Amino acid sequence: MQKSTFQELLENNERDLYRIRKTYFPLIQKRIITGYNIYLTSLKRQDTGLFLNYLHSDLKAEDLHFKELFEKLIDSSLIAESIVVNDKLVESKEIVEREADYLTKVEWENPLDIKYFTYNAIELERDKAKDLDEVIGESLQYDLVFQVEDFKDLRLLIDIFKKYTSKYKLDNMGRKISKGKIFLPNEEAITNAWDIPLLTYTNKGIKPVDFDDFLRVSQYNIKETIGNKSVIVNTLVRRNAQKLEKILEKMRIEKEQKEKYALRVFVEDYIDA
Amino acid sequence: METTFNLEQRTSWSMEIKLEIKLPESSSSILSHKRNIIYCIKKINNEIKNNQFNKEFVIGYTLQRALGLKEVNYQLLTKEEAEGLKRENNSFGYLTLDELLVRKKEIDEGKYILDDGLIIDFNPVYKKRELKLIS
Repeated sequence: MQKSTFQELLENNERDLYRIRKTYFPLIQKRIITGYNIYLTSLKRQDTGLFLNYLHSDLKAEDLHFKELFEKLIDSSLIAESIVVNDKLVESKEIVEREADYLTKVEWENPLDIKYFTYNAIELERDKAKDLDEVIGESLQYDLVFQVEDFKDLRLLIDIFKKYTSKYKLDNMGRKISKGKIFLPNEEAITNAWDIPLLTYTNKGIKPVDFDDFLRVSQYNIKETIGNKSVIVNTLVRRNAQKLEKILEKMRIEKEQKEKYALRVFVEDYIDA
Repeated sequence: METTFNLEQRTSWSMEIKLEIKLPESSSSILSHKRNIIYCIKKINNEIKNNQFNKEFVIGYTLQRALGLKEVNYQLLTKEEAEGLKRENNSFGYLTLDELLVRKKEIDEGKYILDDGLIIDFNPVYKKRELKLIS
């Protein structure tokens, strides 16, 4: 398969990637952030309008997760059958590539192309990485973006994602439903549904009343350079927002803060856990 | 009618011990932080002292996946029970006392570089101590 512009940029500029790792891995080490994504696209299109983002590792056209998800979305009549996979917004939906860096464990089902690093940004062979228990994984992943007309459509789209992309059943508040201490498995979940789906939406203004399953978080966008291209490093935080701001100020890193809404289970059980 | 139970049944019922564990460094996994390792060793050793049935105890956890992976729901339980949970759920894992002691020993011997107890890298000058035969 032909490599994308973004993939080539990443492969040919290891020195810049190393600098970015050395800057932000200590923030993961101190648990100020849980990870970050690097985008080539400026994401400026999301400044106006209503957008839903779904982040997952398996959103390539040949991935089963992607295929099953699109079947569900097409069945719902919320999207048209055609989708173009590239790095430009096509109609009301697009798939954006991102380089994702996050805490992980070697023995788990990670993407095949994943690289493992220590907190000191030293790359490790898989066998050696096993010995560290917790490592930082880096892999090319995807961000599926939808632009929707209004909150009614957004609600419908969110409900489809909640119904099919969560390994466990979710309630109206966006939390996992449990029976005693056991989380109820979601029998309708599609292949490789994550334990916690990563779903966010962007809009300016007040959150509507029937969106209790989403919580406000801060997305920090930081400009970096890879090769001769400008890229965006972004991360989501809630509880640690002030700490992160102070650290970035000390490091003299310019950032832009955006308001986002993330599915409650992701905020409570993941970024704030 | 009087119901009688054999010893094995009574023993296994009374052995259904599952104690929730709150790690001192809750945002790190067990094996990646020295304080978590020491805490879990103590918890298992205490249970062994109080346990009258000579069962093996382990620390269980569940891995949850989102952007990355996190260990959650730590609990102290018998190895038997942990094995059962592992068979039912591939997200479930557990650590034995031996595994914890090996990691503690490696840390004490200087295999890793630590930052306030958190393992951040391998120590490049670490050499595993080898037993030498005295001739």
